[in-house]
Amino acid sequence: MNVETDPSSSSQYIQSLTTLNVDEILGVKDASKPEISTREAFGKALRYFGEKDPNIVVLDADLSKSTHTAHFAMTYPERFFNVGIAEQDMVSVAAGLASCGKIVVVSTFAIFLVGRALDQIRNMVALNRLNVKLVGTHAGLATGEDGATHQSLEDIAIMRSIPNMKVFSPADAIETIHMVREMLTCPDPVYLRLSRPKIPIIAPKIRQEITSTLETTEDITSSQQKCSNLHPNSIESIQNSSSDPSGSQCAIFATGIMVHIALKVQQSLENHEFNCKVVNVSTIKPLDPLPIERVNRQVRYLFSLEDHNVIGGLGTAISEVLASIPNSKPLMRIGVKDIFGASAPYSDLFEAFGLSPEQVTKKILGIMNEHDRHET
Amino acid sequence: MIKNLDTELSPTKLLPTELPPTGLPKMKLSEMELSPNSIKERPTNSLDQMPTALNIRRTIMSIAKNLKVKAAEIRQKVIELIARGESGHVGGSFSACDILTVLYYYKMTLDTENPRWAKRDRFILSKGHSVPLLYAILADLGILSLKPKDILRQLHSQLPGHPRMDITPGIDMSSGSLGMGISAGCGMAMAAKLDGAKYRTYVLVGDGELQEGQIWEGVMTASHFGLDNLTVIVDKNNLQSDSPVKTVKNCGEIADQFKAFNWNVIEINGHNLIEIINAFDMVDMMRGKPTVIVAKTCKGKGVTFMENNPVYHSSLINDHHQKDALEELKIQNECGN
Repeated sequence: MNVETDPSSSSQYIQSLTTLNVDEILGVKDASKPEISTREAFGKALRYFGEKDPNIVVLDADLSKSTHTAHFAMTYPERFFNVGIAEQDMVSVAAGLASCGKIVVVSTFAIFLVGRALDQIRNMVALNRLNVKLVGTHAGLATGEDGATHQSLEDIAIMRSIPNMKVFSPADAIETIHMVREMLTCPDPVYLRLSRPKIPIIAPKIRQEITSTLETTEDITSSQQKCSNLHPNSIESIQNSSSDPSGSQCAIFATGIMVHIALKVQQSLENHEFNCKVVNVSTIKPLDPLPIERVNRQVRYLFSLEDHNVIGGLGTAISEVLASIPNSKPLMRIGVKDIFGASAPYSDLFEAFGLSPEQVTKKILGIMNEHDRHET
Repeated sequence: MIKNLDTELSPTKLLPTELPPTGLPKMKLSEMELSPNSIKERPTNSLDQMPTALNIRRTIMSIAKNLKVKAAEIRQKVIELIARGESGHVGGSFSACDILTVLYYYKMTLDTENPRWAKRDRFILSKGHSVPLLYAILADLGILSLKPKDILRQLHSQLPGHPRMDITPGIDMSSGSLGMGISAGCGMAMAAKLDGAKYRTYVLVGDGELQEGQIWEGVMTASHFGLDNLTVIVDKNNLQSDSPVKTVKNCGEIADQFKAFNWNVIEINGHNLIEIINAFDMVDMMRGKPTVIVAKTCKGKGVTFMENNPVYHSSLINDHHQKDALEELKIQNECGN
């Protein structure tokens, strides 16, 4: 009833694309090779899907080169509006466009989108359940040199507490493309959390698994029309599950850029003869409790890893699920410990704030060793 | 800019000389009687339908007279809605009543059978607390059918305390948190341009509301993108919740501010039906820029003891006052002035 045109038909064509040529979308010869940021993948995917559906309109607040909406702007200038440095205005303009049947994508840095335009997001987009996609790039400490004012560490907490809002946080460029498609075909408000640094594409075998998982869930969503049933995608290291039939000792629930850190941690833990499962939670809301319950049964220790405040983010969301499970395992939340960030290259910040692969490995080993000592 | 249009109409004022012949006024001159606008195709102007100056004058006067009666009727319905719900903002509803009566019964093209008709004109009540007025109009037009459970500001009612587009038929945008309406209106106007659609978007804001910073973000957006299909009406009743706007935080000369942002500005008396009609008709002829109508109004207008009385921003109306107010409005309704 909210929108003029039938939302289910508005992006049927995009939905009908069963195979996506990732190399073509990203404009590379082999997408498994280069390091690509999720924001760049978003910008290129938006340009690609923009061609498929003329109903897509994109807004930016003077950061289109950084958010990569510039790709869309250059290709479809008539459907791109740069509203200037006015985030509140941008979100309300988006609500107006969406109320007239447009699929509207707004993009700026996560901190300015969620922080500055929260009232507009809550009272205009979410309350009216309008077809607006809120894309926050430069999330977390990974923003680096710009410093604390530009590092969004609260956005997951804020956005997942708003009714009608979905929260997506893709792990690499390829998952970003799939999630952009997902959000464009879903008529609800969606928050897409992206980060600044170039990061590797997750290994081809695991990538296939992500793709197939997403494709299964898309079947469910297209039948339900409200994409309420997205699952977190489980990424399990192949050698781990085959070499250790009894299962892993620990599991790391990670999201966004931290999935790539978690995979490095998994490698180092293996060198210490610990088996670790990595679970990529790219759909933070709605959060499917079943995979979490399953992982809880399989391992002894649970960890969450996020480039976000430990209050209210991924760790909190997982702990909310665990709190309702009998015999749930302890969950150690690893993230930014309720402090503000600083200005430095992001790898230095990750090291200083305990989010680098080395620091995370050290922390996990410390906790598991201490527990084991207590038990023996 | 037209300052205080005379109540006496003269054709020169309706047809500004600088306009080319193609820019003839889009007035529904055939409609002597008021009717809810359910016209799907807008009237086209051709030279043989060109009315004489006298006809225009007579028609406008007649429409204005009928609208005045309608406005008094709407004010009665507002009083009844607020009294039944025992809560609601009467002052701001009354100050905007004449403006909205002209918009809904004269200007806007709507389909009362299909409130979501894609080509309809849009209206955003940015000062959402005046929603009892909008409910009264929507109910009177038959867009909103009121059931016994529809009590203002009560559970399971279609009449929440602030407008909700997902609950009430005929509401084009939810509001309540002030300052967002112009931006949302820009979005609707952009959508119309993208689709090559002719519908217009009207946004009503309060003068106190102009203290919100986002208002001016939206004002810049509208002029930058040349949204001549967007019209903002400022209900300048000089009062806000705490005290007069001037004492809380003086907004200065509203007309000058909009002019500085490259808007067309029309200043009118917001309770003079002929001035309101003329202003809205003139807006249709403006090209390339958005238009603001700064309407000088009186909070509580229509009921003597409520006029300019800050007590009636959102106070409860007791039975005694309700009776007095309805009595006064009934007289206006019958006399037609």
